[in-house]
Amino acid sequence: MNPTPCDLPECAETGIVFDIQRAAMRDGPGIRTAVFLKGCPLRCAWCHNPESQRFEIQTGKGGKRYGQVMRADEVMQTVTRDRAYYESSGGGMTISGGEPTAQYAFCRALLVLAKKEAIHACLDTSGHLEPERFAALAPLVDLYLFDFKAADSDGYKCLTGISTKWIQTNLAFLEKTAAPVRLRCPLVPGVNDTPEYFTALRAQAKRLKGLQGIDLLPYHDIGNTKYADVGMPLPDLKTKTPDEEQKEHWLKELDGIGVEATMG
Amino acid sequence: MISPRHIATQADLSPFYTREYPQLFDYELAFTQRYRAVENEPPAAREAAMVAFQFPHILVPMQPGDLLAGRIAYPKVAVGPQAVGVGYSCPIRELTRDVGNGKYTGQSAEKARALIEFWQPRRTQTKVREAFPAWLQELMPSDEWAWEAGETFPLYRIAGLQFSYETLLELGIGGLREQIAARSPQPDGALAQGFHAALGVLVSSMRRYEQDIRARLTGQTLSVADRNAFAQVADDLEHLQTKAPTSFRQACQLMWLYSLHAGVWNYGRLDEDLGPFLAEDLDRGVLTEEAATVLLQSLFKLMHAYDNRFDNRVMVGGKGRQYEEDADRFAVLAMEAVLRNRLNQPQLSLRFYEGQNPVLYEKALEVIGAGCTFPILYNDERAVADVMKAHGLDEQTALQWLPYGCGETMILNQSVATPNAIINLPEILNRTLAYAVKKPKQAKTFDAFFDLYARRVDALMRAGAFVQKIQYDVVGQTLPFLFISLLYDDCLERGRGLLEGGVRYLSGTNETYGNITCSDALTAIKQRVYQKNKYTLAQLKKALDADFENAQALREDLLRAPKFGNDNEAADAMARRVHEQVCLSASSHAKEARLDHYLVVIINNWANTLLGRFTGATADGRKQGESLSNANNPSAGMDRSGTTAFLNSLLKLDSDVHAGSVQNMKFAPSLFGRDLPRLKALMGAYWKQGGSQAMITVVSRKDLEAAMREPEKWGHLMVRVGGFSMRFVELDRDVQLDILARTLNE
Ligand code: SF4
Repeated sequence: MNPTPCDLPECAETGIVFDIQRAAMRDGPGIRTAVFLKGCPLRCAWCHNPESQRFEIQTGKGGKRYGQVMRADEVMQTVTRDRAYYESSGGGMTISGGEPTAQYAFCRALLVLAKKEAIHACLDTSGHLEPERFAALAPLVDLYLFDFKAADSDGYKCLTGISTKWIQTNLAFLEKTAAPVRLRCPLVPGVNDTPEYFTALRAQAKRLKGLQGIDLLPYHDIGNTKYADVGMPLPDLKTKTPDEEQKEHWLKELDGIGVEATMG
Repeated sequence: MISPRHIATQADLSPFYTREYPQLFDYELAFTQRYRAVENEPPAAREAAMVAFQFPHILVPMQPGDLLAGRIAYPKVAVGPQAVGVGYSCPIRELTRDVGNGKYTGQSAEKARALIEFWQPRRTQTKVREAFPAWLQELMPSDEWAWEAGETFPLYRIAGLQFSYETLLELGIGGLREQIAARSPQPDGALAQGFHAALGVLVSSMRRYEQDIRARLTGQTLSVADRNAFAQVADDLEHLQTKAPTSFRQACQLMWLYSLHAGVWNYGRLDEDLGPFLAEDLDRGVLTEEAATVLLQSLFKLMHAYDNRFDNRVMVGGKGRQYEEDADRFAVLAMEAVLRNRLNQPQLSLRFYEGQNPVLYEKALEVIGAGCTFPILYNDERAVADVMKAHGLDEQTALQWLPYGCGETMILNQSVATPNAIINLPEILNRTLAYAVKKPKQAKTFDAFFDLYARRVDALMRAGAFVQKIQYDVVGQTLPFLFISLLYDDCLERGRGLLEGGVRYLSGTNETYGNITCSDALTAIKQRVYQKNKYTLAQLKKALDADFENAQALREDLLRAPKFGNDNEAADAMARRVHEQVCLSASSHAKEARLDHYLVVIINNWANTLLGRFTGATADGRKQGESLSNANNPSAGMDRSGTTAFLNSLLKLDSDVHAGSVQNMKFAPSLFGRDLPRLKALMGAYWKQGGSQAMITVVSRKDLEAAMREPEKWGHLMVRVGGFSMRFVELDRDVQLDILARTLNE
């Protein structure tokens, strides 16, 4: 679908949204409304939102429709309904996906509108976006929720299918600008939770002067049934849902990191 | 006093003390005989005589662990406002059924029959029913609301009685006697004599307890701890027979025994009444906070044993307290006692306002978070104004508002506000649909259809108002409720019993059921039938009549229509329309029924499930027999747009046009753990936007499911059902499913 032009510069009037979650408690500070944009250029082996990957609206085998065209102002109408809760909790809107910046112009439209409404905006991103565009969004983002998926570029390539070129540049941009950021770390036992991963994570954390916290997101298989529904083969992940002990162990890896570390 | 072998206790899970039957009904027959002898005495004298007969027989001796005296086992025939039935009461239906099904045979069946025969025409309930004029009989043909389908039913009871214990505790029994002499317009009149006689009954109950204890102290059966505690109680009781209480313990004792004799189930502002005694004892160093908490635990266990799971309100906090600081100390200990007891009663409730000692609200969240379901929270910033507007009262009066039972509002010491009718809105809607199918010309537009529904609601609401007044009148002519009238403002000075002109405000309430089931159904009818012409009213009716058999697609379409609880304009606007219509209809009939107030209460215990059993399928997609929505809450599980959307929907229903509604919220334990700051913010925003009330169950889905599988392991799991709390495992399966289906906010 071609984004409809709108009167905001570089903004699309409509986009494809696959979910809006109100009273989200795990997508940034406070009570938030999370807006999930459809489409993602990555293919993470553990993705629990397979219905978010394709850019077009899909109909699942069970008849469920994934995604709907929404106008940016329509989304904002829902978002602003919870202003009282944002104010009392220090919350706001979180744009998530998929990879929300992949619908760049729509994502931008939402951020512009949030700014207009003085609603705190988080961008939940893998960071896989042309650096010029990433920088262009910066004035509109109050807090980045930035994924840290693998130890190095080989890991990224093999686990998510992309090169880390943009991600590295964009991280460097966040380092330089000391932008407020939380690192979001999907942890898949036996897949990406290597010692090298934690070494890299600690090093990255040190470089981000605006770092506010690290959120460890343990793997779960709740999304698995959705693969079949959207007609995708279930990735053959040699892993299991982590137990409490495993989670403890991960948290230990972050001892002394100097910022808040949470467990999903 | 009752001998222990005549009491069946299931004190562990269900607190209800009942006499063990069949015990041949000897007591009931003796009560009956006594009644026959005094039947034609003036009401006050007759009541005094019957109370004097009743109490020696129904008091239960102190049980091991009790720190205060006062347990009751109600018989089948009794006098009182509501415990067994209204006024002079006998459970005819239950006895008839049990004789019929062979529970009583031989001699006991004979005696049961004799009771039925005597009481059927004489019990107060019958007299109330007989006083219905023909038009009321027609609109309310049945009393069997729990066993039959119907639009509206009368309820027989006098509830919503709360007085201040301040005078009693300040003056003691002796001082009260002087008051009767000094303030009665006719100090020797029948009512004043009745008051004296009632106090005499209370004193002799104290004496009985005292004697029983002293006799047991000479034996060897009591543990050391019980010996000490019981001896203390005996001394207190001796003191209280003549003097005013001088300690917190004595004040608790007097308050409690008086309540049992009065037959009240809700206890006013106990923090105000008992707080000063507590504070003085603590400050003098004669009582520690720990000991006071343990004493309150005992008092609360006695309330639990007194059992009325729908009542037993203890209110703490709020505006309009004279001894606020002392009361706050009581409030904190009361919450701690509830936390330790982990029982479904009393229904501890907290009123709070900006500027109140924040410790109270903090403590409340701690206790709620531990899964106690208490305290129930009331936002005074909103509630006082709501009561002023709904009841048309000035602020000074409204400050003394209180919820009782499941949450109906009343004014301490000044009003009686019994719900004496229930109304089933989805049933009315279904009958409207049937009518509209027969007379399509009258339902050409949705507004015309709604109007048909609204007119029927209004006619039945009017009936409810008249039934209310009739019940007050008949009961008022039957007995003055001596203990209650004595402490209620105005009765003494006016020389009139509570319901014969004694009480200042005669308020009445009507319990509405299935409000949201009804409004969701109307939303679906409006959108699917009238706006989109997807099917006709006749097709819809046919599908509902068949409980959607062969109409699955239609049902799914109905289920997809917008539902209340999602901050959805269409569904919420319809909920408002239904809400306003029924609320304003009620209040519009107060005057012609000669009531000071007549208001709707949307509080719902579990009658939403009971009524649902007999209510056919509804146009919101609900199947026949399933629970109706509870109170103002979304239909179970239909609020799927997040907690904030749910709260926003709730906030759209005005809370100043009725006498109470229940906001049930089910939260995941994490919100009271790591997410507590978010929970506080969530509730903070809710209150700020005008939320007036919340009752919160903290539970995980996993636990509820496990409790259904292995009930023996989950006796401690407490849930809020409607306006009351229960151990989950004690609920009927359909109620359990209703609770499970409600959205869990995470
Ligand atoms: S970035 Fe997120 S949505 Fe995209 S594939 Fe990875 S996990 Fe799935």
